[in-house]
Amino acid sequence: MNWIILILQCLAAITALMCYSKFKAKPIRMVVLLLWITVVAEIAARVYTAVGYDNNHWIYNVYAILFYSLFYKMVYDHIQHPTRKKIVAISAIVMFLAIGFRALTTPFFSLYMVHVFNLATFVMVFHLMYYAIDLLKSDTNFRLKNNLEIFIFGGYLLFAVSFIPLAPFIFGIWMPDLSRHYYDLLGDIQGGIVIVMNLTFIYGFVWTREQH
Amino acid sequence: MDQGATLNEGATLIIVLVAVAILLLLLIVVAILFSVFMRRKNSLVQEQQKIKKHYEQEISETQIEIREETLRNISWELHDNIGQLLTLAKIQTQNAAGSQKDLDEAAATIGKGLSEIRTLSKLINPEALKNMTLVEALSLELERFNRMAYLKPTMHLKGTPFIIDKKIETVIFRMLQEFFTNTIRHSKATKLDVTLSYLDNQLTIIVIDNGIGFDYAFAKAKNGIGLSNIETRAQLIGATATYHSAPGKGTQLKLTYTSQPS
Repeated sequence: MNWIILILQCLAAITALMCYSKFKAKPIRMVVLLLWITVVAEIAARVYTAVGYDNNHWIYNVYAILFYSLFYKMVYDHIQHPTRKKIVAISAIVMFLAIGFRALTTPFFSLYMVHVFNLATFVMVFHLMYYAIDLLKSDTNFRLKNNLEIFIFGGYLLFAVSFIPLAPFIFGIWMPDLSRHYYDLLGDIQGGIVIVMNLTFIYGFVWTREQH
Repeated sequence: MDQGATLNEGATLIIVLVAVAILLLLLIVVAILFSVFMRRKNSLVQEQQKIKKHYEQEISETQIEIREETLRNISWELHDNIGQLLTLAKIQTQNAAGSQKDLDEAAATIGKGLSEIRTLSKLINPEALKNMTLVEALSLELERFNRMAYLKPTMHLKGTPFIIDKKIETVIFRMLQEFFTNTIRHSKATKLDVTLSYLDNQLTIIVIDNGIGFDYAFAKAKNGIGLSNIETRAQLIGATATYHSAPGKGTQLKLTYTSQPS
């Protein structure tokens, strides 16, 4: 399962790069960076474990900070209405203050992001809902074929919605002594959703039209 | 003990899976609602774009009509008014045969023609209109009718004139000019009464002639005598123009414009 996920993540990143000319004029172009950061983080984490280190948490911690900052920026760039833009900016800043505060209380190389992950994902869902409201209230004629954003944000929303209830169990915050069988099952569900998310990205990159 | 722990784990797992399922279901519901609302919004936006396009088309058509109407009016004024005066001056000069009195009469006719050209030029030139109020421009136009003996005009002013945007004033003046021209050319009227009422923020202009009148529905159906033209122009500036006319009973135009507070 893990290999399938990695292959799909690589495919999504490569497709994004190949179709970059289609959406280079729009703020959604940042997704290329996000996808490649994910691929690099996943490969680095695997290599780190393969060479004999037990704890690769720091790679995911660095990745999470990068991912969420870029993602919040990307949503911020998409929102048109000044008040909604302000709300998104303030919630992102509060989130990063919380992450910064967390750095003072938890060792960075181990459990740093574990508790913050869920909150960051919750903020991500909140931002995406604001983006949806912004789209509904805008006076532009919306066409799915011209909006790669819907596929990207839709994919991430799917991931975020499942991640919120699953993460505390997968990261061992709740029921740390969960049996391997159940742990794997939850991981597989999460993996399945990541696969669907990446397939949504790939479909979006290929199917949507060039955007100006 | 182990069995109890497994049962506990199983129950927790079910709860987690149900939570995930509920959230995914919610996401699907949100996606469906988003799609429905987006479709509705799209149709509204398309409708607005259609109306905007139609409005812009109407504006450009009206502009063309205004230009053509102005040219028609100039042509008519030159031919029927100034042309006549110059012809008369020519005849007077030809018949003068050295008589100073006849030459003075011819010079007076030419002077009258020149004066008419000046007034006409002033009333046609938008820049000249910008330096006049609506009341001044109307007075000038009605004086001209009186001088040319087209008909006997009167003008009444009620209330204190308030400031109206110059562009809107020009459009109102052009509408009235068109009505006057129609009256002179088609109605056979001998009297023209213009009343301007400036009350609160509302300007009401009532123009009444004692001409032959017309059947409004019939004229409208034939798209004749600039009826639509005046009504469209009124709509463009947010005013209303209404006609009251019947064969043999003269014509009344009521123009109402409410000034928007700036």
